[in-house]
Amino acid sequence: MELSAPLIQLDLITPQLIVLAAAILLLLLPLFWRSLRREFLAAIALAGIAAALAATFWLWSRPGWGFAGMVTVDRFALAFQALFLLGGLLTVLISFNRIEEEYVQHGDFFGLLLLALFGLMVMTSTTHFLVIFLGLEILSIALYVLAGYRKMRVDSLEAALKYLLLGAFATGFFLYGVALIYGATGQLEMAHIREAAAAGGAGWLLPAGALLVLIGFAFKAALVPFHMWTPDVYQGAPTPVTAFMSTGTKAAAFAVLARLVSIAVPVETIAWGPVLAVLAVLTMTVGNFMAIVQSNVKRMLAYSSIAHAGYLLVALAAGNAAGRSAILYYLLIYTLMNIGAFGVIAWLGRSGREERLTFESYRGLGYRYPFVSLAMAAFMFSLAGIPPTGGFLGKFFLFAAAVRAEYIPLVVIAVLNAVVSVFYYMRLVVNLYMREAEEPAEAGKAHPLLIAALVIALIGVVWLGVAPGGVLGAFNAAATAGM
Amino acid sequence: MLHDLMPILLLFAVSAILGVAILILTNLFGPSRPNPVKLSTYESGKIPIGGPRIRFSIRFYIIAMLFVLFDIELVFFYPWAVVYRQYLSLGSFIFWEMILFIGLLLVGYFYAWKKGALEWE
Repeated sequence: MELSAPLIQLDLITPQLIVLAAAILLLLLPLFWRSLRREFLAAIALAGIAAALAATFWLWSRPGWGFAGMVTVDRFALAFQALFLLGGLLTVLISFNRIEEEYVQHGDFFGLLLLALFGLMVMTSTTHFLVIFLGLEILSIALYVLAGYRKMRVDSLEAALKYLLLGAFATGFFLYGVALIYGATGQLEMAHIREAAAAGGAGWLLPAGALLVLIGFAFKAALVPFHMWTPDVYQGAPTPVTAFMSTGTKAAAFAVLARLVSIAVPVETIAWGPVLAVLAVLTMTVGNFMAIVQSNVKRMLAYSSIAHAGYLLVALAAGNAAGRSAILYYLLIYTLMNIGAFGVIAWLGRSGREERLTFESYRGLGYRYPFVSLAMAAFMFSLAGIPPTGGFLGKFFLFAAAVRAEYIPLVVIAVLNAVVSVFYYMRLVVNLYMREAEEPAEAGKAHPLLIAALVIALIGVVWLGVAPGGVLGAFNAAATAGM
Repeated sequence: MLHDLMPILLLFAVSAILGVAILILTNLFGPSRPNPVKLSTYESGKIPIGGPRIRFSIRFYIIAMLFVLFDIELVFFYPWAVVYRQYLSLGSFIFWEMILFIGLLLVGYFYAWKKGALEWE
């Protein structure tokens, strides 16, 4: 047997290594010094994320691939990495609220969060299905624990159990799909799969496998009809964890799906357009109409996140570079506005033992807490897609990509859905400013770090709605890389 | 490839046929004269003292979990040990690779230790 030294390009995975090191530090330090302040632990997490972000920007001008094809660091992967790191940063910041302060000092919370982040980054910076599986499991296991982090609460445990069972189920679909793809082509790397499929002889195994992979990620991204777990899990999990799950996991699932439909399995094998369009219509419509009838704000945001996955699918169905760029842009805005909205929910805290999660608990806050209310209103306007917020431009780019690919009826349905969604987002704004409460909720003094998260998200949402130029240019470059 | 798997398929078929045949034949030809001793769980062995679904301490789960974890990790050492000498000619990479792996294992070990997962009390 001919021996060859394995190719190790550690510089390509610098961001991942930094995040992993910070996570290990966060897990180990509190074991030896028990009385560390939570600000100190958060500082380690934030420093790790900031360093990884810097490394990601450094890699932007020197993309490459290594580890014998197991790691692909193109601009598409790097753009997603930056997105995850931003989401992780905001999640750490919004963990400074009065509910989470009981347990975030343990350090495990931030450690697990960074491990989940590490999983997300591993999952997207590859085109090899085994590495995707590895990243997916690192992410999922960390998130199962995080979802049940408030272990004295029944709903938190319910969330963790449901997420574990359905997550394991989804992973099963994914793995079975990968096995079929391997059976059909003998390859696990996406470009090689494409070559093997083009050479012919793949038969029906390849489309069957690709559809199973799609189903696996449809669970993760909460697409209808694979969304049943979403409201319960999002409601029961600690609010910062919900914020992270609803943005990071969704983004990673879309990154893998975008690569699946544009690299691994070409449209000649499966007509992706119609398949994704049907999923998109179902996802948008069910998500929006279920969101209308919710009385719990966290559940409302859960269904709204399903609906947003539907909008993203519209651009994915388009299957062009403009669609991928729009998906990136929308996911960036979505990360900002969704984590921002969950940050406000976390800030509002609770009265007695119950979290304040009903629409009524937001009554009369508009004049009592002007800044936070303004931020929440801006996030709601952005989620609804009203100019001049980023949500409007993001939706515009998504739908424009689909129009370019001539999916006119699909875009019409999507726009109608966006109109429906205005109702339930505005309901919250109306409660903030136009309803009087006998006794407005007492939220107490907000932690400066939480306020910092809201400021970052607010500036981002407005800036991306007004001046998309630079970011969009970068994402356009990312969308064509390696596809 | 199918040809290579033929013996295994045959084995499955023979064992299935044999199992079913024995059950059917004993039902057809065997005399059936049950009594309480014959019907008990272990016909000529231990006398059952209760149901198996009792609660037992959560500590067993932690120990079992740790065992499975570290046991599975150990499996990775074997292929490494087999090719170690061969790969050493290409540099010390293979040595540091395992040091890194053990280092990460130790992180988990320290975590379990300091969290008190190894204490019985």
